[in-house]
Amino acid sequence: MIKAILYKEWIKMRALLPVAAVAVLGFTVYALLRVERAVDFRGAAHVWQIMIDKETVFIEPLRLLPALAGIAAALVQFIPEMSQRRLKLTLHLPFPQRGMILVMAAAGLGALAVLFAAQAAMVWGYMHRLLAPELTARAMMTAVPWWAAGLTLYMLTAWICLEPTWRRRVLYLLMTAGVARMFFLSDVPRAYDGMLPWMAALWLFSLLLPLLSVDRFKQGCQD
Amino acid sequence: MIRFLKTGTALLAALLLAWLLPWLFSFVTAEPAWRPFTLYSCVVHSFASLDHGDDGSVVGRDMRGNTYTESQFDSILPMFYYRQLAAEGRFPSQIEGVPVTVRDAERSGFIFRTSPSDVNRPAVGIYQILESMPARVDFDAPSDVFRITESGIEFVDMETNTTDEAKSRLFTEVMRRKGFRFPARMVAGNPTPKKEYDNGCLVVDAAGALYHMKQMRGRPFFRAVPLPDGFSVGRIFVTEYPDRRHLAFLTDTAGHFYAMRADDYSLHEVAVGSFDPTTESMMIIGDMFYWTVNIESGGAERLVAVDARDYSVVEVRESPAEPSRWERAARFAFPFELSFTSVDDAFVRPRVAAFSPSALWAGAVLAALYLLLRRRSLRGGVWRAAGIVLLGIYLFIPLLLLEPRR
Amino acid sequence: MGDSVIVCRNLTHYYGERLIYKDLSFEVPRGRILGLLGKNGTGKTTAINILSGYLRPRAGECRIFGERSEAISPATRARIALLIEGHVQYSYMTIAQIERFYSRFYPRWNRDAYYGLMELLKVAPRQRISRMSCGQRSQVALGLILAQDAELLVLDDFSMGLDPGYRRLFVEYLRDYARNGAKTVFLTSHIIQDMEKLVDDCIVMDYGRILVQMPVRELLGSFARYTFTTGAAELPPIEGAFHPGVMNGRAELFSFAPQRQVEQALGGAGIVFDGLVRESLNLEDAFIGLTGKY
Repeated sequence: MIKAILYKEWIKMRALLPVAAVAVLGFTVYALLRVERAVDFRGAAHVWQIMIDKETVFIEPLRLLPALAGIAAALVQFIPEMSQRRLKLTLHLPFPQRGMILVMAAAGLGALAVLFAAQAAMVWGYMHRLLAPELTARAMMTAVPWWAAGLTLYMLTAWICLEPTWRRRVLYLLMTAGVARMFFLSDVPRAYDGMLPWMAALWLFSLLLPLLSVDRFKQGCQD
Repeated sequence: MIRFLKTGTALLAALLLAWLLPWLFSFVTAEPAWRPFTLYSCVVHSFASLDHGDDGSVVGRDMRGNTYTESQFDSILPMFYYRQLAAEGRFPSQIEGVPVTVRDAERSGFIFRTSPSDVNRPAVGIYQILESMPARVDFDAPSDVFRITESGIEFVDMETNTTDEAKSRLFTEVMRRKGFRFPARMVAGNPTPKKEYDNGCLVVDAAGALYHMKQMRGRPFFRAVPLPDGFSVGRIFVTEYPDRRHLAFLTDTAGHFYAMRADDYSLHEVAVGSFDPTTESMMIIGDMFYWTVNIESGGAERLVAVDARDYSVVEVRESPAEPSRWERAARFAFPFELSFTSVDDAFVRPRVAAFSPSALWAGAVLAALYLLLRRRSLRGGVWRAAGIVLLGIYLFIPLLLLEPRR
Repeated sequence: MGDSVIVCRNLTHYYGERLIYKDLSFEVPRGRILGLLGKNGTGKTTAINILSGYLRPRAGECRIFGERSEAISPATRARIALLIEGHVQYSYMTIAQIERFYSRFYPRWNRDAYYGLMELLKVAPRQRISRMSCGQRSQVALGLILAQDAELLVLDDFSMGLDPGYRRLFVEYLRDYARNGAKTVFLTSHIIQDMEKLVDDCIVMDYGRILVQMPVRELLGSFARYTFTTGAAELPPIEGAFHPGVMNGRAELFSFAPQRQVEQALGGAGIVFDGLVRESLNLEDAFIGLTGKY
């Protein structure tokens, strides 16, 4: 049954996944190519020096991509469930209802995780040959909150989509906007290191939030 | 489970409000804070500040009640306004009986600045050191970086990302011989080629001992810096000012501030009062006679005039932080404030501040209002009411919006 | 009682301030096809939402196969086929994909029943359901319901969007299917003609209450229209009569009572009448007789 659920999620997401992959990985290639150009023209030492002096990690242009990918994935997965209240069909299937929602979310999170891991592998693969481990770690750690934003905003978007009333959706949207802002408060490399445990806690909480929306759906809440 | 999620959602909303409401409030009510520019005058021997008169004209004042025109103000601070005075041919030939020239003013003048946001930043963990004796006049940008690990110092060539084994071994051996205990606890220096001369780095080893390291013609200059017994280094700011008199300013962990002389590593306490570079900013505008030290934190300012010749304190002025009426109003509205960033550092992490017991009253009123609006008995709504008393408006709004009327 | 598949007790529900029902109770016995009839807005879909667990009533409860409707176990859900109002399905799938999806969930999945119906559709195998006509989509949804081979079918407005021929076909198909497999069916439809051929029992709802619940045969055997001529311009309330009315001297009323009893009631009400005629009704007329034209 889990395979069937994943199959349905795959059908919903398969149009988005190549687009997201091309966008995320394409921009990553672009960002790394820019570094490579700098190496070609000014030498690797120049790149090191900028990273040390200027508090940059060169991949800043990528910072919103994981969040956008997360939001898009949740939209393509959960809007079809809510249009015409199709969630009734999904929840009627002989599978535990909460488990069903969590498996669906796991499908999206899994796809995002693969995408982000590919992005991380590209950045690390390029940088670790060019740069000292300290600088590579600086770039990778700087990107961690961006990936966290992708995974968290995915769950929060699912929470909004599955909520049956517009009044609540607007409230949830405002909350989500606040949470989203929290992920992008600073461009300083590794500024978020101390924030990561809190982000992890928030993400764990967000994993369960769609269940609240589903509970309200089952109560028959309507505008 | 659902109850947990409902509670969690309300608390998440409360936390977001605890962050955004005070921010919005201070954003809307912010008033420009301005303090006049103040220096210690070596002529009138008082702090003197430049202020704007009611008609917008510039007025100089000293702390004895004298006022000065702009041009008079220049002449009571000759070591600072020496270029203006020199241009007008008014630079004095002697100050406090000491003969001075414009060149003396130029060479001895310096401005030192540090702020918590400079100090509290994520460190890279790799450092650079200049070649102190370059073949040509100007310094070259370093071509390598170094890290000091448990096994020694490691120089890595930036162009090839490879370790320079020979150089690393050479430096490690010298450091070991001088008693350095790996790894380094702290490395301070200014590895920019855009300076007149190079003082190298000051390094604190694993045992807390201080060392001076320079690179001269590719070879290590490494020397232990004697510290008083029990001295524990706080922060080090290596200085490279034109008069070359000092090697560094530093603090100890007890909050004292010192100047270290370049010629003999002698440590001179500058008794500016307790100073913590991680929470207070400092600006020193100095010359060969006096330093004006300005220490600021949280809106409070402390001005200390120091005699540059013997580091003695000449005069101190303190002005405490004055909360604006809006800030006082906020103390009644907000039980606490949550923020993630701070002007004092470059980190993002949750910080709860401005706890205000006065806001409990507002919380109690809101709790009563909530029970009334939602027609709950005190017994049925006791947890929510208690939450509102504690979290005030932060929880009041989410509970009203997220819980339907029954 | 012990053999009722659906038991709803004392349902009370409001939308905002508007009362939908108060203390509504009904049962659906095993092996019967029960139609829920009511004018628009009497809460047919609301009833289906409550008993499929997508609406929590203000008071009362529904049990299906003995389980509370808001917490039906997965195993029990497998025994219930649910057709949502509007024949909603996963329309972003093709007919092959949707069959592949559903078949994994139901051990008794009858692939041939589904594809048998799909063959009548004349759609391309790779055509997405959303690109099909309204009627075709309905047929896909019904095909899936039948393939599930459930013990209880809950069908909300199953005939919507179907053309007359297919509607007839489906009614016959469903009847045979239900009879042969001893299925229990609970359905609503706004086309009452279909119901007459299909349902064993009916519940006729008015706003906020149930007017009658009885076997259709019994309803049609006992409920009748009475017409007569009268000089009165208006009829007073008459005991046991539904919707009495006069038009151009010809009066009409509906009643479960036999003719003699109606005569007595009219006399008792002091009405002068002549030429009382009793007419048997079809289900649609009976429905109108019970609920009124407006």
